[in-house]
Amino acid sequence: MPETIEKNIEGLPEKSGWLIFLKVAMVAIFSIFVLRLWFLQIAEGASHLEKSYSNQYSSTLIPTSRGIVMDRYGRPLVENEVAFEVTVVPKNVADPTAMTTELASLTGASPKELMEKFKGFQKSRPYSPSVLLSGLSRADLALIESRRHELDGLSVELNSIRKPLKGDFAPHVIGYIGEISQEQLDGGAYPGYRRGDLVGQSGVEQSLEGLLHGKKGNRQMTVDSKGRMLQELSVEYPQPGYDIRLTLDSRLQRVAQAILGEQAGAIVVMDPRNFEILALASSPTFNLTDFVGGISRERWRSLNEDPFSPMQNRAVNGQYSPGSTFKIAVSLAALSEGVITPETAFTCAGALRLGNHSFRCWNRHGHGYVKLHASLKHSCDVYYYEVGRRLGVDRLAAKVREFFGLGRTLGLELKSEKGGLVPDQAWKMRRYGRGWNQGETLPVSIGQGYLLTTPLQVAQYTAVLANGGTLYRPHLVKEIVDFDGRIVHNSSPEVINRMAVNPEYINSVKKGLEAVVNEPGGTGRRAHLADVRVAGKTGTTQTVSLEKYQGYSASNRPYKMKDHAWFTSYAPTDNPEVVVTVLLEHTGGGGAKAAPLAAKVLAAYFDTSIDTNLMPPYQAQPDKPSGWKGDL
Amino acid sequence: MKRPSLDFRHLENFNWVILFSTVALLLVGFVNLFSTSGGEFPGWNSFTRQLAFSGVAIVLLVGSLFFDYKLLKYVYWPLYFISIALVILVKYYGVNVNGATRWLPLFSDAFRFQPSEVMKVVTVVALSAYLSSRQSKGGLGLMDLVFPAILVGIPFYVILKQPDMGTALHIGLTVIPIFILRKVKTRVLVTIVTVTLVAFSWLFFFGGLNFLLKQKVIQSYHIQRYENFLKSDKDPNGKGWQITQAKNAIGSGQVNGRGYMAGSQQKYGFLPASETDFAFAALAEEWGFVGSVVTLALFFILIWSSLSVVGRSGDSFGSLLTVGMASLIFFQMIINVGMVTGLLPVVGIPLPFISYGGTSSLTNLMCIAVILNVGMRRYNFTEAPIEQNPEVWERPPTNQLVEEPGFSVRKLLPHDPNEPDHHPAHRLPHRKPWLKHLAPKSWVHQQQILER
Repeated sequence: MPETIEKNIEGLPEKSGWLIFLKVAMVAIFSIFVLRLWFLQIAEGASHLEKSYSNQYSSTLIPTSRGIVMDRYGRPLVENEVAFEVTVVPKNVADPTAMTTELASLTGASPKELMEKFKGFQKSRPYSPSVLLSGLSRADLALIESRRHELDGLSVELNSIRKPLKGDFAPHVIGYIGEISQEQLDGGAYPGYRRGDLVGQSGVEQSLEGLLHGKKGNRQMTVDSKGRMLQELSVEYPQPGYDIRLTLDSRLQRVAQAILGEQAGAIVVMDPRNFEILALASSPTFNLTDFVGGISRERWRSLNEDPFSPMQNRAVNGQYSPGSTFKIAVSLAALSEGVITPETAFTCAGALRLGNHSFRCWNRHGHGYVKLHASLKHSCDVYYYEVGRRLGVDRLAAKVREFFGLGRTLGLELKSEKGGLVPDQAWKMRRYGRGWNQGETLPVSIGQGYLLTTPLQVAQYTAVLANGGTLYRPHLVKEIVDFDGRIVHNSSPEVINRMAVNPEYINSVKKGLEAVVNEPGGTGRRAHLADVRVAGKTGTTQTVSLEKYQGYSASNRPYKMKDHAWFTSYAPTDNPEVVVTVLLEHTGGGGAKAAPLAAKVLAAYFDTSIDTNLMPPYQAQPDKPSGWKGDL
Repeated sequence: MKRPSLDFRHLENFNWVILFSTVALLLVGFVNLFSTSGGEFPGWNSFTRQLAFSGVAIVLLVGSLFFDYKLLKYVYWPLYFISIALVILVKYYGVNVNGATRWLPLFSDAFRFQPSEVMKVVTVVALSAYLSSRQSKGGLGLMDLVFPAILVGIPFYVILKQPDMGTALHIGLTVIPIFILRKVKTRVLVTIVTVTLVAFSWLFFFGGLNFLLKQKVIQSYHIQRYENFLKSDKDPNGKGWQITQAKNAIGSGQVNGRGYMAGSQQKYGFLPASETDFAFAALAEEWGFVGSVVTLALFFILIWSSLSVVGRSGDSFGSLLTVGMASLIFFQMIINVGMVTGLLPVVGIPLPFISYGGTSSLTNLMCIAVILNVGMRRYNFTEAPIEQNPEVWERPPTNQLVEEPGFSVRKLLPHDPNEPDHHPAHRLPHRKPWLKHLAPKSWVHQQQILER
């Protein structure tokens, strides 16, 4: 055999199991890869394509400007200010300490606070941008841009800040702006909003969000991986929000707030001819400027934990027994039902006995022989016990609901508006599962018991009486104006009900209210004005049962046991232009405490020279309201 | 030493399938690179550079076929040490590209040469040459593995220190099939597998990684890449961005692809390194499932035919060399496609024939050249068959031969080395090997008989 033929052929692994093993392993690995490709491209292909599109197509939102809120004379109450903010993506920051010290030295912020904020973002959202610093000026911006190369992970963004022109002016009505919450996003009431958007969180900023907000623009474009625009595909230009002209008279509002001062309470000033709200003051109050650029945690806690709840708009959200002011409504209801006439007389002996319980008049000596006029003038309780007893709670409830819109909200442009409570037999059955006692009708007919109204509702029935029986929808918005100044909507008075009561009867009730203020012996004499004839009704609401404050004299009662003081009035009597309702929490008698304040507001309404410069300064969120005596 | 020449009888055993699948893969690579490099033909861009490199590489491939692969047995030691020296030189004179120092500048940085690519091939050559020269009964023992381990360990270490974790791992994986084929004793195999399992469990479950990190054997970015691989879905915007975008690119291709030159991920720069390491993702985006599976199929055909060559090579050096080269290409492809599809962590390894890279395409085509060389030099043909074996040729042709004209070389077994029609080593060096493909077999056979 020739030696040129190599003889190691028989040692070859052609038949070797290991070669077959290698081939099998190769086939297995290739099939894994094909499966992987099948999974990526066919099973998940559509979603990857979508992600690829979202890479390639980018849409940026073009910010729009929020509408301005004005008072009834067109004076702006809020403004939008251009501001810059620094956002940070924590994952992109290589050296946080260096970054925060650099940023702090450029802007004058505290490096420690920045570091704390940064660490918070690092924990909560490391991959998405969060606002590290806001409210920067153009000078700060220039400094930051000059040191941009040392501040990786940061970007500067343009933003507009909503600023109230005066933080303590009608904060409950205007409301504040805050970042949209997850619940709001999930709730569906804010379509098209995204995380981080600012929305109104109270007041008209909240309720008129849809009008004020406008519509953000949108620029569709193709981008490269650096986010640079390659081609603009389409632009949808932003639509600025509508400007809102409120019915508020800013001078009256200031005056009302100043008059309320530190006392917990509310003042409603309304035009009875169309139910425009001229002033809506609630005290204690808070400062809107605290909310600009996000409220600090301490401030928010202090506002929320304050026992006097300064954030509550007492004028529309506080529910109180209306006390004797409700006698206006009861008398009109009884007159319309024919239960009494102005000439119907009852005898007041200081108390009315029903069953084995005695219902007392506020005057334990009694008022004697009382007709409608005197019952209003002296605010005789026994007269109204008798009226209530004859009318029955169901008829009373039905009439006050129909005539004055009690027990429900009428659609004021404030989300915090509450409807109060008008009890009747069905309600009692539903609520307590027990039948109505006749004895429970009597307190309701003098505005106590289960009955609850807001100061706005008290103003409503006063205004219905003042304008001769028409219930309009109370409103805060006078005009909606678009960006070019065109009036989009002009709110005309919206009639809800016209009460069918003999005008003579209405007049007699009006006469009774006039007597309260103007006749000797009237309970509201302190609301008397020299130039204008005022009509009004006092109210004093017990906050606890009589037994509880047996041991105290009127002056040294604990704060929470003191009576609420009401006074509701309108003027001038012959052609009413204005309704003023005052509520003071835990102060004392309505005639003594509330009537003088109403008189001041009325005086300010008729004398335009009166402004807050004549009033003492008032304090937002007072630490101790007047009348405060230790613990509640 | 023999004069370099190409005996035309070798072409009978030439594996055209390997050549054609390689050329097909190169064409796929050109088409893809034309898109990823921006689609400008005239001009000195990566596409034209790759064309030039591949042209040079193909010329070298064809040229190398004139030399017997057994010559490598005599030159592997110098090659081995020169390559190691070059890899170490990179440490000192290397060019830094995108944070990795892997290239030596040539002609004042007009070209860049990547020694670690050559190192891989040379390691395979050295290992197969050494292993085939050892005689052992019943497989290699543990002591027989010490020297091969050092032989592989040195390149592995110098490349790891470069640092180029990907290439080092590639070498480590590539040599495994060589050892598998060069039988290792069962008990040794069991020991090795056990030790490997223990080592892996120590690395990943008992704090071995931290130890290595402290000893500076591995760098912290290796661990980070590994973690990114595990967490790529959780951090789509951060460091896992690359792999997420690659997956988006591949997935968005769906069945038929986004269309040639229309892959938005790649075109708008969302796909990183689309010319080099992530070329497969660009291909999958534009050509879809169909295109990527066709590419994988070409690789499959290439590797499968190479393994067939392993079984039919002339000597054990040839078979070990072939399995080494095939495994080099196979693992490179596996690591790259696995990385791009998110099956494996990101290591910077290009896809053979598809990715842009001069040294890479050169070495890959050299691998193919070696495989082709081994395949076609299955037999050592005698220079003068008639003179050397006169008694064979004096025998008259049998009737059987006439009745069954034509024969398949592949199915032929060398059961009778003295039968001229059964053993091709004795065949005449005819000049027209292609005739058998053009004409009926009986006719060719008659021609062959006539030529005698």
